[in-house]
Amino acid sequence: MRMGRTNQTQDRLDALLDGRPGEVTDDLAPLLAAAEALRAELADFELDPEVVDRHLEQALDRPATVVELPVRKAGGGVLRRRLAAAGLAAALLLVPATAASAASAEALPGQALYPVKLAVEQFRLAAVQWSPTREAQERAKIAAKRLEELNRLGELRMFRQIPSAIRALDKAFQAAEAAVVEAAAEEGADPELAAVVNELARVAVAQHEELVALKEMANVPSAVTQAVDRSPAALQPNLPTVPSVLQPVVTTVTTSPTEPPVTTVPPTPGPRPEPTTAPPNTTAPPTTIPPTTTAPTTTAPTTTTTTPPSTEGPAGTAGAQGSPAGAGGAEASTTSSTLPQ
Amino acid sequence: MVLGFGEQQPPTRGGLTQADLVAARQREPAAVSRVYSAYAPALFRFFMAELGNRQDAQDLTGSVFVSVIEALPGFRGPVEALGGWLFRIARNDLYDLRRKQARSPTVDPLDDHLDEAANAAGADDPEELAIERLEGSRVMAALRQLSPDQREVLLLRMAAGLTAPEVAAALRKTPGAVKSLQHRGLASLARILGLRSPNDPGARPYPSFDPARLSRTEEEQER
Repeated sequence: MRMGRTNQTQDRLDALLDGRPGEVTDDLAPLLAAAEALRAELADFELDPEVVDRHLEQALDRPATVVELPVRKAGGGVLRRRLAAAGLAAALLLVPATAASAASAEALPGQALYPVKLAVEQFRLAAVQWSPTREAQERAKIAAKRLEELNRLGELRMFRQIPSAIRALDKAFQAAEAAVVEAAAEEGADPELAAVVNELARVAVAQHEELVALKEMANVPSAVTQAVDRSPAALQPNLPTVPSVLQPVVTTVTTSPTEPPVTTVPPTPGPRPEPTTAPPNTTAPPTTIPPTTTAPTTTAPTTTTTTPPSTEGPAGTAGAQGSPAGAGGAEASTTSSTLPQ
Repeated sequence: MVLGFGEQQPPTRGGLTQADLVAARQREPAAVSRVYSAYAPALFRFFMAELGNRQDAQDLTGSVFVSVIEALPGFRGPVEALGGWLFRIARNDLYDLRRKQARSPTVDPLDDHLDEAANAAGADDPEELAIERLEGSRVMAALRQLSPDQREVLLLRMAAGLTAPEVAAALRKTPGAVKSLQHRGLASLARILGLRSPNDPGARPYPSFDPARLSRTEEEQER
């Protein structure tokens, strides 16, 4: 009798703790308050983002020992992954322990550590979901990484990886752009967001330069030139959309005032500032700019991602989410679409 | 899709699927990272509450995760059973670490920690800050007064975010025993924290068979 009632109370408490419906009686109220206090206390304990790379690499580093026979699983997948794990182990041996977490950061597409790099990026993105600005920053960083990879692949003439690297950069760029628009709609004129826009502009200009350089390289496979032609940045820099709320904060979206390609951007109706001031990151001398002024202004409307100001601004997140993707490209639509493979 | 830190867990943790499990067994990096996202924050909270030391808790989170990924091919259950299984490993490794620490009581470079912590927080008095950290809040102090059984159940429930059946699987107890421990543990916690229902006279003891409670009831009666 008594035992039965106790059990019932315990079940009710358990249900309430799980968020299932139940009656909060006088005897349970203090217990639930204690549970809530404990939960709130524990929620403050958060992992340092820096350890995440290390943990993931440690886990991926160990060669598989208990895995089923490779023949049972599809193709040479297991073997390939084992080789990748072995490659990872070897790579970790070559770097000092403190630099172990940076081992994957240098990885290029097609290399053993590259999937780790992508996984770490996805984890970082998940960790900053609570802040639209942080997410935009993180996505801009990813776009910059894709650009670095493309540059490296070009230097190394790793042509097989280049077409997908071009597409990956375009996708990462669009995702970053969309994240900026979304963050601007939620957080308004944030100087940090303006910095993200400037960073994206830098990426856009450098991407265009890289694509031009790729096309001019000797003995480039046609797959590469086709991929270049399909990129929205092929003819001129695919400058990022500046959400209207950010326009007063963004001082310039160009990297250098002397740069010819910028002049081919069609004037937007909004108060877009003219590139009069030199931003701090004018590292590349103006003389290295490839001859891109040949791009006629008539092609500009089809290749830029500038959205009309009417669809921007504080029009709610749904509208803000849709507009840049629609203008930028059809496949990469929302901010969560950059998951690799 | 992937859980952020400090969020309450939905029924299927981090949206993990059976396919993720299969892929994680094969060390598919994306799947391994999804398992990590789903469980590492919970592991860390659990270890942090048990050990009270950030560095140790983070290191243990990493090494337990490695053990988990290594042992994953041996886990035959459905994805829903992963939490209980995973925290059984976590608990074993935690006890191993404690045994090791007890066997070789190293000189803890507390001074280093103090200075580091003080610099990080910009505090004037490293000692005060450290004491605050070590003692934790009132809630954590109260938690330390519970019986080890009750504390463990509450931490697996609240820090790790496991359900009662998952806790039962992790501890090899029955779900009924877990619910009973959780009820008694929360009752003690509420009493230590001075939480009472407005309509409750306060002196009435909660139904409990916990012998540790008796001494505290006497304390209360003195008040």
